[in-house]
Amino acid sequence: MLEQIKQLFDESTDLFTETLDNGYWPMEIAYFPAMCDERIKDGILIPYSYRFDPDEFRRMLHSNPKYERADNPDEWPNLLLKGYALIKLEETCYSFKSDRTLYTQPDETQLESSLQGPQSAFTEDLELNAYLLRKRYNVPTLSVEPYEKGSLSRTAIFVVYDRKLVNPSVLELLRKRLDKVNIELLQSTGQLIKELTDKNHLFFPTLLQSERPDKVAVMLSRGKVAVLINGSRFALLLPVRLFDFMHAMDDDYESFWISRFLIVMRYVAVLLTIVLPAAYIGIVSYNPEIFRIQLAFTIDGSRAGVPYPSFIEVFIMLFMIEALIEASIRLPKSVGSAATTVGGLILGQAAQQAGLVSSIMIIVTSVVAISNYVIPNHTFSQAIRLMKYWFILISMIYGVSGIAVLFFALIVYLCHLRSFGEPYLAFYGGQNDQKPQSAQRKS
Amino acid sequence: MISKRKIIGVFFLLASVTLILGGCGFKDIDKRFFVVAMGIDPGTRKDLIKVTLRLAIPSSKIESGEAKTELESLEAPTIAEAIRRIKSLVDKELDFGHCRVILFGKETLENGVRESTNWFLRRRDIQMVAYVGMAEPNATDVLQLKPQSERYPGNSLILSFGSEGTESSFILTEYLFDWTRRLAETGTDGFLPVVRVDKDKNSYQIDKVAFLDKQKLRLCLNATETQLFNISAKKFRKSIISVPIENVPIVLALSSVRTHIDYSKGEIPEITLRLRATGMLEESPSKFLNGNNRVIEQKIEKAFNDQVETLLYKIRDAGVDPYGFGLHYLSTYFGDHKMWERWKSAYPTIKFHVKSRIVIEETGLVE
Amino acid sequence: MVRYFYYHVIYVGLINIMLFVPYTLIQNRFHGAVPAIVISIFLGTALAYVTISLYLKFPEMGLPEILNTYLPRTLALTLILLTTVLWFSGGMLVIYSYSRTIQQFFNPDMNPYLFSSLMIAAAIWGGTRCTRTVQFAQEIVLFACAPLILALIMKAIFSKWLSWDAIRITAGYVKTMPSFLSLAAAMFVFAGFNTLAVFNRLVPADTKIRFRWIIPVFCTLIMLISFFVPIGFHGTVGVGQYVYIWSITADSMIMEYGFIQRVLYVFLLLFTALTLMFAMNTWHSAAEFLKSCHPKHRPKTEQYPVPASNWWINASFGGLTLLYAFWADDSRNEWTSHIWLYARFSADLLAVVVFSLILLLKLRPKQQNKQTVPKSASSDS
Repeated sequence: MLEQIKQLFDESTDLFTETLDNGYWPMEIAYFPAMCDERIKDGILIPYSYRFDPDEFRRMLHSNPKYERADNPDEWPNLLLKGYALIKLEETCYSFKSDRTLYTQPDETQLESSLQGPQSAFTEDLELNAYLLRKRYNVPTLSVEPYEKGSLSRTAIFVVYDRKLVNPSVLELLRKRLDKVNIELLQSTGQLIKELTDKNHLFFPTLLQSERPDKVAVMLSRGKVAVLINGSRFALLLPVRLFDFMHAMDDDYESFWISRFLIVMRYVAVLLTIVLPAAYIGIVSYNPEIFRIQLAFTIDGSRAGVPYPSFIEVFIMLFMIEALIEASIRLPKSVGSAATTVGGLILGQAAQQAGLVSSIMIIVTSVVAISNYVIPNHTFSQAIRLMKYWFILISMIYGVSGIAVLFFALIVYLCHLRSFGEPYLAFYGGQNDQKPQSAQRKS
Repeated sequence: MISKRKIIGVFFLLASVTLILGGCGFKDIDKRFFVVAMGIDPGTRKDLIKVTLRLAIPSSKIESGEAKTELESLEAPTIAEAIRRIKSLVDKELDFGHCRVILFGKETLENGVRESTNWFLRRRDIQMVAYVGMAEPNATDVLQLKPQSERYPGNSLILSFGSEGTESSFILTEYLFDWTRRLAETGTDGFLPVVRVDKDKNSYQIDKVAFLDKQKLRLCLNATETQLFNISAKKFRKSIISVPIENVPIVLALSSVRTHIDYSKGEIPEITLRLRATGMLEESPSKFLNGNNRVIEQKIEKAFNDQVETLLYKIRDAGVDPYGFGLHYLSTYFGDHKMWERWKSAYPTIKFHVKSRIVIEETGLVE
Repeated sequence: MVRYFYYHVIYVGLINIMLFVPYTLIQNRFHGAVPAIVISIFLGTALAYVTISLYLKFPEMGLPEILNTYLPRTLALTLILLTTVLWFSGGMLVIYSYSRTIQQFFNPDMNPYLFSSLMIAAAIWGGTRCTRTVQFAQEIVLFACAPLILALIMKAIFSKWLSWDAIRITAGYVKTMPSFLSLAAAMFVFAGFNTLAVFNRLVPADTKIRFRWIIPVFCTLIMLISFFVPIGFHGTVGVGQYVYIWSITADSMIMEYGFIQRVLYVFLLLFTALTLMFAMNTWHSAAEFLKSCHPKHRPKTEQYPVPASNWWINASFGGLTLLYAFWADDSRNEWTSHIWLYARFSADLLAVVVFSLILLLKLRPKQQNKQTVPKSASSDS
């Protein structure tokens, strides 16, 4: 065995291979010390060395679930790379599971923080994630299908669902798509999303990423499927609807009216962040009579010194704010607040005083930026962030009426999207909705 | 492949946008001159019309008295021509989108007003909810005034006419759509609030109303009568009824007014105007008439009935019907044509009865 | 699923404003419009009830499937093609009228074809979607519009400037002879039930369309508002002088404390949505009809991604609409709208006759047929 392995891992000096002998049996052993943890000592070395008892050792080999027969030599490199130790005793090969896990406790939520909800988040360890999920969704019908994707990374994937509630056609479609996944290094959920969705989905995410086990549990209870990836602290959820992206876990934990208020506010914020800069152009350059006369004169007065047409003004300000947002992600935390102050306060103020932009435009930009961050899901927030430029473009040509038309087109587009065969944007009603779909599936 | 095509598409779009912009009415707000008020006067020659525009000069500072406006006036055979000529006088594009006040000079109305109204209807950018009024002595003089309290151009007149700012019982509100409706409608006639410049040259004085028939100006009421008209025709709540009882002035501040018009069934109809007003005594000696409210009410009723009846006869004799008695009469017969003929012959000599019911809800904070 | 049906009823009722219905009725307000309205309320309700019941007899089948299955090929083809023309031109007329309105009140300096092209592009975008998408989009857009519709109606009815005397006088002309044009115009308000021609495919078998009283109640309300409110605002005489009657009426209302002061803009925004909904629906239906002319076509209510044929058909609809925009002006558009209203009214009656004949002749003698045929059709879909 050792010869074979040594050939395969020719120059891997970190591989440990040795033939041990305790006087009774010689044993060949091979493992990567870096990938294995201390269990190797208790599981193999101690029973083999000074506490050796042939009968007991044999019994252990057969009864301990960590030991498995590994007769197929093709499997060996795979096992070694996964953190297994391989031993050969009396012409039989066994693998011993001893992979090292760095994570022993759940992470803290970072992107989807909640005030009063659970604070634990998924980790980059698949086993621990599965544990977190099982803990919150504690039923026997919770099924886990393991997959392995990525020709180089060989990342383990769990497809998790509640067998009683899941929509079988969605599951089937997911399996089909997973089979087609062709990727070398699978390191994040984002990559998997790209592989799983159609090419048409350019703007809006049709799969939800979440770092919160409680969110995944809620979704599982609604019959959705979760995909967990080893090495990523996000779970993928599917199929999802637009409303799921706008839903923060706090909504479930707050009192009824508060959560309704928050949800409504969020949708208003989305509307504002999409439409406001475009509306500014439309109103300033096409239909100043839409708003009250006071507002028209205020804008007129504040724009008096601005040398550019309104859309250039909008682009200047939006560029500034986008650059600021982008920079603050990369900046170290200690510098971040300084950059925001310089960018937001000082630059904005100076730009207005220099007559480059009107003061109303500063307000518009701030509202747009703040509203964009009201969206609980990051991916969706990015999509919305991009969306407003389409509206600005249309508003440059058509003014306010163009915005209305494009908004309609946007709604049609969202309704047109499907997330694993399920409508992306639609109000759901009674069971009748399911019917034509089931007819559809047959065809 | 698709994404590459899309990128080229977006690039092309961006490039073409700037080209298209010229052809689609793109005009920034600071390149527009907002007309906030418009006045129509007769010209110096008989075939000319004098159009006065009050244009807003925006400023970033908004303070009372800081509002700046520019006045442009020009004479031309028609309003449309005058506007085109004015465009050559100013540096920015005229925008009528915020033209909330339209004033007709008194003389224009005496000559007949239909032709000039037509222009306002055809223009799509004139709001149908613009306020219409009559300027005395002429629109130019009134528009020239720049009141101290004005925060932004044209603010004063707009606030006075509408109910957002002051709510005076002497100011009637007339919108452009109602004005054109009344010019065409059978059985009702138009009215216009009269705007004058106050003596101290610092504010507008709007306390009269002018009545017109389908052609021209027929009658102007004085301030007291205007308030009566406002109460009895418009059911204006925030007004007062002031009558002297035994030489003591009694003032009732109204809180609600309801009216009802009855017609007698006979060959020559008679009109009964029933009016129920409730209010609070604002001016009255304490313990007046032993504090017997019913007696006070009856005395107010009697005096008030007389006042309104006199007003109605005065309006009738001027040959106008701003109350819409004719329209209401017609509607009780569901638009029967014969009834309209009967009404037309009957109206010049029609008889009015006013039956009011005044209720003193409270006597204020004292007895 | 039934709720989707009523969305159609409501927005088709509301779109009447863009099809010269109030204008036509108001022009004839002293010559037979009021009795036509009264007749249309009864006739429209009856037609709606009967047509709905007839469609429910053919579960999960649209109009083309019904015709193709039970009628001789040539007759079916002719009828389907006629329906296609009718549906497509409905969307076309609405788009043209709305573009004109927008040009008048929103972008007066804009090249008129520029805005028409935008509307056409949006309608093509909507029309190419699959039937289910169209249905979902309709629900969402209508929900987004509901506050605007309510605001507009509330503002109109409770305005103190609304002259009830003028309304009463006009209502008094109920005893005149009803004119056929007015009747055809008034009947349009009730036309929403016709959308079953395609959307019946999505109505599952043995669905009962309940709450049918919604049709007479809502449509009557819409009709009365769209006819009487302009009269109340502009008087019995003055109302006759306006072409864009409802835009002017909306402009006569003011929201003193509203975010947008002029109700006109609420109205225009609302009708952007309604116009596009109507155009999307009619063009989608017309495209479905046209596709079903092909003998091998199998109707599908869910198609993702969008097939190329949808794009071609809808693009040609768009091209035709653009051509129409070149040809038409206000008076020609009015003339065409009148013809369209006549044709549509006749088609409604014809549909009832044809369906009843099919039911009588084909289904009764062959009882077995009745059970097998719908099934096979539904499994195809």
